[in-house]
Amino acid sequence: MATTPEHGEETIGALGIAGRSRYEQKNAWPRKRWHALGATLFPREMELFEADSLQRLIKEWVIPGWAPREPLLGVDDSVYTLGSCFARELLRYLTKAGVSSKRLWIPSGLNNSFAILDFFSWCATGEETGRGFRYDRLESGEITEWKPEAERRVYEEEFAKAGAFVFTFGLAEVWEDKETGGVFWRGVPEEIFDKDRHVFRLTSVDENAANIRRIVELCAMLNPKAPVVLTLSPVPLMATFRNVSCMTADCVSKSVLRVALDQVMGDGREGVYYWPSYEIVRWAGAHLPWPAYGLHNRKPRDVSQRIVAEIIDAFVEAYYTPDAVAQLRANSGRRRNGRSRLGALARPFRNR
Amino acid sequence: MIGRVGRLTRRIRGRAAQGSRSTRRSWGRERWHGDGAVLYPDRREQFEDDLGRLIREHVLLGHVPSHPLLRVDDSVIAIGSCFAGELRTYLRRAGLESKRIFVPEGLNNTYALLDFLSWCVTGSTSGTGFRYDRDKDGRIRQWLPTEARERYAERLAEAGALVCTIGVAEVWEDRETGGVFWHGVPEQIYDADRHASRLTTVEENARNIRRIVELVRGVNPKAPVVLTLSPVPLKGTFRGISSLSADCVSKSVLRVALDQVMGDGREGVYYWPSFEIVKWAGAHVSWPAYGLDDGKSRHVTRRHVAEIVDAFVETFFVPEALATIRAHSA
Repeated sequence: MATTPEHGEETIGALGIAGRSRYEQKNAWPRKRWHALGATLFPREMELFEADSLQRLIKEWVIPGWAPREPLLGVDDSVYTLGSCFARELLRYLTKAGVSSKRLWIPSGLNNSFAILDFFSWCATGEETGRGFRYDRLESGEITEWKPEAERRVYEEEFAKAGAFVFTFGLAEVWEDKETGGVFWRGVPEEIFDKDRHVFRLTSVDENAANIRRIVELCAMLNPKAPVVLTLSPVPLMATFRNVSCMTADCVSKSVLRVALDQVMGDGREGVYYWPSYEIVRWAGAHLPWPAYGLHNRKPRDVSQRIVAEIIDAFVEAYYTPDAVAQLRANSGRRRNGRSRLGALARPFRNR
Repeated sequence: MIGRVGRLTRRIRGRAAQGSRSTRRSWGRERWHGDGAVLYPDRREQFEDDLGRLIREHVLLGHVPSHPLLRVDDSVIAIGSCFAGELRTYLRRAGLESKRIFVPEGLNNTYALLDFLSWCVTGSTSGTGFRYDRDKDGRIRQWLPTEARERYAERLAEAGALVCTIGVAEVWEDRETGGVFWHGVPEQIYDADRHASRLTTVEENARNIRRIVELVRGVNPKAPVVLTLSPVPLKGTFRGISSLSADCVSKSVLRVALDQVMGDGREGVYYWPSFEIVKWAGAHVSWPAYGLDDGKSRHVTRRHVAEIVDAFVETFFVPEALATIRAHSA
């Protein structure tokens, strides 16, 4: 991915004018005394963070540097989403628009990179990583060991035909079996918990980067043409066992994954993209005059629907051809101009 | 980490373990092992009704000393970026910064902080810092100390506490020497073949922070060292990606480095979560955590600053000192 000003200039130029033009036109930083040519600046005006500007903020100030140069997907391309929240939201949107990959059930809530790798490795090669404990929770709430509902070969065949893969990573804290080194997909079922054997730990940047790289390699092996989109979930941890506040634990957990993703993107692999939904919620969210979480249902771990809608819409616009975008928006009930019907939920702060 | 935090931990743990509102979607209760879990706040009201309470109950846990460590006559030396400046202003207004020394503003990266402190303590620089600074008129000049080095060392040795705020992981480096600039590269010396902007690594920053702690410990073994991460975003990036993403990665690198240093378990070293109070709690509240007062998107809203500083003072100063400080600052 673009890491130099030269490359960045082209990428940014295709999607907006964030940075360079503002610097040239009016920005005084760094008062023409520090070297600043090629700098992409942080948005200065708070107006950009008002409700009506969210779409512009995302497209001009967050996405530059991350989107493909041209749309890669048509309406017939099936997109497989694995991992936590963004994957689920995208799947929901695409299903509503009638274009989701409908034939395959993929376990939801695979939040850590070990679990995603374990599942995907089994799909792609028939081999588990040997590092995953596949306990899942049924709709009834019962914990059970996950048994695939479809033949592995079906997964392999469908993935080989996929139009794109979207992987969303959620957390860096895991439960591990000390004896085997295996990592649990989610928690440890209470009935098998052994305090001498099961330990809670924060995984490292290097471990997560290695897992993500392996996932990308498996995608390339299965389906060399399908773009791979990596994202980080903005949904916070529900709990931590680290003996610090959950908010600070969540901050560290996300930071580990964000650095790991940055390292993987630094490899510059063709067809691998990062989608900044995390920054849109957590970074832009702290500037918004309304809560980025729980605006619609008062739950602090649910991303406000208004932002989710904008993230998905920007994603669709960045990845799908214009014809497909029009069709998807029409099917999903979004207005032609891309504006969400949920917009009224977030009143501009100044009107209060 | 006992005392006030211990009680809070027990309360939170108790709530988690009781599973009083268990549903089929409850995590860590009944079916997944959940004993000892510390939960994320689960009601939006917790973020909106009382920010100070949220900070004390849901952010500080695990990051505060078992009892207040500072008295009213303890001098606090605050260096680094924004929080350092805010704390200095607050303490000065409360009449507590009696023995002032001039600390260069905006030492945002760990190389600059280490370079400055290394010079203060040992008389020699770290060998990796370029000390260009900007004066009040906006002119770039090589930084020259306004006081004798020994005076800095004395002040550090007699300080009641050192607060060190780190801001950015992106630096400008001189390829030939490996030296890192304190701030940017002055336009008049910029050489495209020689000066490169780069993202420093978690390991580099953790190493620098550890060295900073060791240097301070060398001259002042008892004073608590408080490490913080500035919530002020990058002004700009040279990485060719959006500045919001670049800022996110830059802060993430530093947050992981700070977590690693805290994992060493050194006595008297604390992490103060001002970053989480702004960036994490800030995304949950119904007002902007930035720019509410002046419309500037890189300025933390005063309400957050006030709550952060108040919680800091309450945590680190003994009750008598706290009363004096609050009376003066009011």
